[in-house]
Amino acid sequence: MKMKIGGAIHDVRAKNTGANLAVALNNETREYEIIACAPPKFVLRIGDSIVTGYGVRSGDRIHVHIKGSACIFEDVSQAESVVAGGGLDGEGQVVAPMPGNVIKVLVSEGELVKRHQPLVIVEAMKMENEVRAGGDAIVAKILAQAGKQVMSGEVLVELEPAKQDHGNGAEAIP
Amino acid sequence: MASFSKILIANRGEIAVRVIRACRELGIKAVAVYSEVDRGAMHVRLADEAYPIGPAPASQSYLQQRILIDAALQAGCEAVHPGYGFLAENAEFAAAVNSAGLAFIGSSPESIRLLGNKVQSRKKMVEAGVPVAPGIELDRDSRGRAKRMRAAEEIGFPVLIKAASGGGGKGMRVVQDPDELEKSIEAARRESKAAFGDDAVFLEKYIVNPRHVEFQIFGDMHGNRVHMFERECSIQRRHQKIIEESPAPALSDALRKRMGAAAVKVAEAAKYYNAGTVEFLLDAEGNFYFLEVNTRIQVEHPVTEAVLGIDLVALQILVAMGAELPWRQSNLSQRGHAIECRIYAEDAAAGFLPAAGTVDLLVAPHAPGVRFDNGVESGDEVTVHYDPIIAKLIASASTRDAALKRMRNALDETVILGLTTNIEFLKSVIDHPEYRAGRQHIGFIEENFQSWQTPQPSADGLHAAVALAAMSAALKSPAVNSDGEGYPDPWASLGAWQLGMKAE
Repeated sequence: MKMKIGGAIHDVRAKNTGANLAVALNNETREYEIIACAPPKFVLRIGDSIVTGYGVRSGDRIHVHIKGSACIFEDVSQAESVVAGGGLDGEGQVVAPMPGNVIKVLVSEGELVKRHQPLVIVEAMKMENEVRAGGDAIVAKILAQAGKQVMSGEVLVELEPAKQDHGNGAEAIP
Repeated sequence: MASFSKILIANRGEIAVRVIRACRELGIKAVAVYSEVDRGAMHVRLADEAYPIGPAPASQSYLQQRILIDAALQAGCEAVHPGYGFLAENAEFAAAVNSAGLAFIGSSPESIRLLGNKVQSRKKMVEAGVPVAPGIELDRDSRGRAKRMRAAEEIGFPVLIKAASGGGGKGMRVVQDPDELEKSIEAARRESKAAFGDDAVFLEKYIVNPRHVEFQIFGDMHGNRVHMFERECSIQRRHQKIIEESPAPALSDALRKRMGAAAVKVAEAAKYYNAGTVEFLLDAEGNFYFLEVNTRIQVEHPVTEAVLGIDLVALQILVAMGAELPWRQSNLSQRGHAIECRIYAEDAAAGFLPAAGTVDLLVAPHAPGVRFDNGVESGDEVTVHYDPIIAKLIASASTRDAALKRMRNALDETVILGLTTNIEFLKSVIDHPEYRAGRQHIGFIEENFQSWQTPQPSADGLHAAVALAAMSAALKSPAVNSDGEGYPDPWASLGAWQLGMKAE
């Protein structure tokens, strides 16, 4: 299976043989002794070291706490590539970074926007957050509506590349 | 002296839980209230009684004064504890509670009104001889854009825009660039309106890189007033405190004495009673400026409790019943050192964006000198509707250094899975050599953690984490079965298994 952690994708194989667990991560195999398995708590031994941790699965995600740190693994074996957010070239969809309420839409369709220009203000937990353009672009479509609730990942604005031949009289971007 | 048998807690989350525990110790029944999304929340689970008060948005539930007071009357309460946030510093609410024949566990409506209006309270403190930073009120209608700009220029950029009835960094904006002034005022007004139901804001001189040092004050209704020493709360992100400690590393005994005396002067000038906090900014030269008074219990009250050995919430209730403070100033002294970390559901690597979601697993740390005040447990939701605080972790020891080590271990042992928290970020701050040395100021995070990223695990750590992830992925059994009959043995039912391997 392929697991994603912190943006990087790793090849993972694991085999349980009763008291032991063999784990291959990017072709490096290590053998752990299973000392206790009481989900969500797990205790393993590798060499002389005890490894105690917690793991819970929710959907495609596996959350693990080990040695004081939490990490999230995503099973991406089947995942398709998803475009999330306006890219640096200014093209693509700008999505809500977290669930919240749209307070204000700051741009209009057809408008030329610059890199890092605020597009929409989304409020979550009483804090206002500006959602900005990833790059210079033209606002192709606005889906966000002031006063409306949005889910994390919901498309707020669609951008298209700011080319000179695109849109009426769009000026060259300095 | 009055005696309460039942108290309504007009709040939610960890502070509601904290008040419920104080009530229980005093033999008082605790009545919770809840919005639609909080129906099964931790504060409801712990309460003796609980009443629904409306839909999720605070403006339709936790800020509904009439509904709260009616619930208190219906339940047969004698008093209302407002917690912090929501209506805690609302003088009208305090007055309405009193008019309904109930005790408001806090100061008088007059004192709250005076201190809640930051403009009036500044004037009062100048009269009382307490040092304040220069500032000016921003009247919405009678002042135009040009007038606002002149006022800001007179004070001198950078300026700070603050909500007149604000707190906790909401409705606050630092303005470096005059071109950003109007936009920032507008944003501050919107935030203030949403958070406090009032869009009045004012301008204040922005003192560069000060420390935030506040004094706990306490008064009874017989005219006795004391301070309970300081808390340093300089570690802030987006103007909201995340790490607090007592004593403040920068205070000499002489300065502590002067600031404590000023704090008591503030309390006297406002005829203040019950728990309050006098906030000061302290510059590098040892000058301090009155900032504001928070007329309520503070989020960070546990560090004072640890260093003084006093239960502040229980004392709030007793004082509201009419009890005299059991000590005078000379009886109070600090002992050891305490630090608090606020654990938030937020993504510190992405500009501290709130990260709502489900807490799939929460395991609190246990160790000598460690306290964990949480408002959610495993399975609970952190919603977008309220503050994203999950818990407060407090470590205390005989010295600052020992308390820091204790805090560091406790952070390592705190397990919160299912959503993004700031625990890794808190560890990075605690580990920072400047913070270790006690050299902090309110711009510390901005200055040192601008491009902070979650540290990558070591090769060994990653490998072991993957091993645990593989085990978690392979197990289909829940941690506890639906009858609550403990842990099933997953190996018994699962047998040998493998992941991601082709049949060999």
